[in-house]
Amino acid sequence: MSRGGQVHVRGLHIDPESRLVRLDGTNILATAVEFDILFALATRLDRPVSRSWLVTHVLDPDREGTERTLDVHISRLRRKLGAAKLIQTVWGIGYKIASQE
Amino acid sequence: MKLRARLLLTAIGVAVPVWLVLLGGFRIVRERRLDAALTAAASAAFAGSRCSVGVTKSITVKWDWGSPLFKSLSSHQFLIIGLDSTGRSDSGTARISAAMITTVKLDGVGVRTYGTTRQVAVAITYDSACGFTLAESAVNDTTGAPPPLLLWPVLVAVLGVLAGLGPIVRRARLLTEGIRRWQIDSGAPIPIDRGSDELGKLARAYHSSVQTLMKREEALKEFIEDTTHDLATPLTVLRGHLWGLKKDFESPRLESAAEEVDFIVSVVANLPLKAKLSVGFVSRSDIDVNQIMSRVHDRFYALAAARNLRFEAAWPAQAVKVHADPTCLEQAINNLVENAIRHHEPPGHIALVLDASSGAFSIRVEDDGPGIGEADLQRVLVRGEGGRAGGSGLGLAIVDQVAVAHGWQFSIRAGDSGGLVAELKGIVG
Repeated sequence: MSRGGQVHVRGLHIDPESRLVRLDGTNILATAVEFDILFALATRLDRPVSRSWLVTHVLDPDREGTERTLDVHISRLRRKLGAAKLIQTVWGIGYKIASQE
Repeated sequence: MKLRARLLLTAIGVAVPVWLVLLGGFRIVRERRLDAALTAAASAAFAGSRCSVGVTKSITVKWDWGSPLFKSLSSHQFLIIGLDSTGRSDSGTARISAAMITTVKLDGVGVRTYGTTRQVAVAITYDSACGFTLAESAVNDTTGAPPPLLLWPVLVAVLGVLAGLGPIVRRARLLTEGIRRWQIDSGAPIPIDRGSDELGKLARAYHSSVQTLMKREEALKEFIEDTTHDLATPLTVLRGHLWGLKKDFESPRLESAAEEVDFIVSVVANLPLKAKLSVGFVSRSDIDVNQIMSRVHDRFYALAAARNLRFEAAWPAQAVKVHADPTCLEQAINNLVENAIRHHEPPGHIALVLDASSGAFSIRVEDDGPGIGEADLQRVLVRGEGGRAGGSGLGLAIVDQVAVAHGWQFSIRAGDSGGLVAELKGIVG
């Protein structure tokens, strides 16, 4: 699934070096925070990542440290990723990307 | 009282009386010698010489204690303040001049003490043209040196002993600290003292008693574990059968029986830990909580799914290291998850989350089941109270004890979705 740091899952390609995201060949314009969220979820495939982990590790603690901000980023990211419904909500925990639909 | 303080007091208690006695003795000796020296000096000053009337003479008396230790205290200075001569006749008009004196004869020397002043009186007979005259001279002891300070060698000795005590005190402290650490964490080694003195023997006696204690504890633990293990297998089979029967036949009795067996399984599973906690032996080591999380997830995933519950677990990508008793922690998490599964009214969710940030960790089990009433929230943590009414068996009470034994915090509260949130918080590393 991941080669040289790159992650490929369900048509999603993430390159951590160039910080480029492609879905089914189309470039997705993700912000820095959105990219980090996506990368964190994609590298832990099928494993949920807790909201508080994402808040402390991905969000800038000085500017936007709340779980509400995280929800906003997630919903924007979902909109950008379209109908694929890659990012799943895990009850009581946070979010995950499943390797299969 | 501390060892050093006790010794210091003992030393002072012995040294002060001894010092006082010696001081008294030396004072007597000093006075005698001083008197002898003064007398000799005065005699030497007047005997065989012509008397100089009204002349002040300064003499130095040297003397020592006869011991090299106090030689430095041997120099004293005395002053002859005057020499008065009085005429023999009662009218007292006759005064003699030095020129008139032909011979001087020393009659006697005596020492007098006026308060703090010591005076040496010298009586002399002058033969002169006027006949003979009695004269008296007073020599004041103005500069008596202080008595020998025997205190400072004693002080040096006491300080030396106190300094020499250092290693002994250190050993005692090392042993005390070792025992304290061991009380908190039975895995911590107790330092072995190889000294051949009483302290070393005490340390070794303690060490061997600790070994015996640990052996006994080990035997007890083994017994409980064996018994639990023997019970676990048939109980699991029984539970499987009962849940199977419950699916096949709708019967409230079967349901009740299945729940009772569940309860017994939980009690039996917690027995070793209960024994361990009641003895107070918690052996800590550095463990990776992620691995425990993964095991607990694998253990309960199928069981939860069979009861139509979605059980998910999350832990950070990096290892979360905690200094804890591995069995305690794993059983505590087991209990939390099992409790959530058992009291859920499916369908629903159970979430197990490990978070670690800024030196602290949190293990949280949340469900969207019916939850517990406010009154019962307080009750379930009390040992034995949980019972069957609360339905937690030993489970949550044991989690609480594990938390206390490790210095963690355990809390249960109502979740946002009405279920129960149980959280274990502590320090990483």
